[in-house]
Amino acid sequence: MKLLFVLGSRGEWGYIRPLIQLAKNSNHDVEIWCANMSVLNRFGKLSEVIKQEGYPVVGEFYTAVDGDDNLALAKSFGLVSLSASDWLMNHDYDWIIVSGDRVEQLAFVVVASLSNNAICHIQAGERSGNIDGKNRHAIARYSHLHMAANTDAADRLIRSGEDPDRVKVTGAPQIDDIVNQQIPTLLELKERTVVSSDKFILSVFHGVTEDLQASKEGIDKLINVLTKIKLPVIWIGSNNDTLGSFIEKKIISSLKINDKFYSNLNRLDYLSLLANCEFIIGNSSSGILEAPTFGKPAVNLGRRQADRFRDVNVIDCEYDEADISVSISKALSVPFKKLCLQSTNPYGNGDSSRKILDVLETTEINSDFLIKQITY
Amino acid sequence: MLEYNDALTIGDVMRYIATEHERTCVLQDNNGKLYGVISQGDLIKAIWNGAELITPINNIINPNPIIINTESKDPEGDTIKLFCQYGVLLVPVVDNNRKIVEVLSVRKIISDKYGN
Repeated sequence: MKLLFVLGSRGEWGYIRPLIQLAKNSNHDVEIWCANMSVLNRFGKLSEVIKQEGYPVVGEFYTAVDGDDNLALAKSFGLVSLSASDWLMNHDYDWIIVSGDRVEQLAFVVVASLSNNAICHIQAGERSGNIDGKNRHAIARYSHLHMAANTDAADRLIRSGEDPDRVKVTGAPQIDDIVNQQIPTLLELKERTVVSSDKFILSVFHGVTEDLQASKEGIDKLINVLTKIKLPVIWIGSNNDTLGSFIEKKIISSLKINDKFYSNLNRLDYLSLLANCEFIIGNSSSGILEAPTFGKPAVNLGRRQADRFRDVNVIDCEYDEADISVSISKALSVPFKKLCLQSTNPYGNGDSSRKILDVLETTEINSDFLIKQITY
Repeated sequence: MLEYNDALTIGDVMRYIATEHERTCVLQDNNGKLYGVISQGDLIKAIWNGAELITPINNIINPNPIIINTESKDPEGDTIKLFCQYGVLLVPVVDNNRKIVEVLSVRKIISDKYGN
């Protein structure tokens, strides 16, 4: 099979890397098409990094537009469409594989659908609380196969009119990455000065496009609470979307002596921070999808991950200092820590890539398959 | 030391490094807190990656530089040790809130001890 993977950000790389590795090992013809954040130096030029690791990057496209508002993302949608159209005019694939919920994935999938390609969507059917949720379900309408991380997501896809035969529960491949990778030890991180203490909080905060004001106030409140806590904080920076640089400046100016700020951190180091932190706080999906694998509490702020299927490790709270403080106390409490350690990750146990590849290998792509009917 | 603001460019930092004869530029925010550092190496890497003199420095600042706490009993000795371990030539001495108290220079420490 000839497979094209669409890559726009480091988050998606976490989803698709284990599957790409497995597909390569199974002698399939794999190509990676990179755009948006993944080609920017500012974010560590992921396309170059993965090329050096031996992954087959076939195209790199500048499609990100600088600007701290939603229209920059809308314009970026257009640039991805233009680049994807030109690419697909000259290249043929058995499968176009998109993942997650970002705008570049949606733009690509629209083009792939118009050009009658077979499309598989990974991490399909989940709910997320802002524009990303709309993107994810719009991607589903254009996709021929949906790989759902759990039954909750699969049920939603079927309820929204997708044919049950096209919906597969495979778990989330990014969990494969966590379960099967050799991640650096805390000692190694300390030697490389990634962290400077044994105990720390991991904080990952993204601006929310639909609610700029809440995001601006939210970061202030989070900083206020965390600066009062004795534990050092390792901050992971915001994405290239709305508010990114505003949040970055706020965080850097709030740092204390043992705190750190990273706008770009390699995946394995990040996983090690997650595995070794006291708890994760912020509004990243990592607290919900990945923290359960390490049995770590996750304090989840605001609406960004609203309604996403969650395990017992997640403590939801509002952008409110008192609420954040209470949630942190719970996250640090011994009984809650124990509860987190005993739970299993609802997003899978490490064999998702195998399941996804099996489905791709056994699905016959013919005209019946490509003509998709909504069931309602 | 330079005070960080949004308008600072790679050219500004180069001019600073050229005139101050240090190979690293320490940046503080408007409250005197450490904002980050930019080394000559960071500038070379940025230019190699396509940056120009008018490119803003936001993306090349290292916000987690090697630092010494004001509680250190031998900051100069620690600076030399950090130089041996990591090759850093300038080390900001900061309090627990990252407020910069002074910036120690390996060149100055060595020349005070061995220079004429």
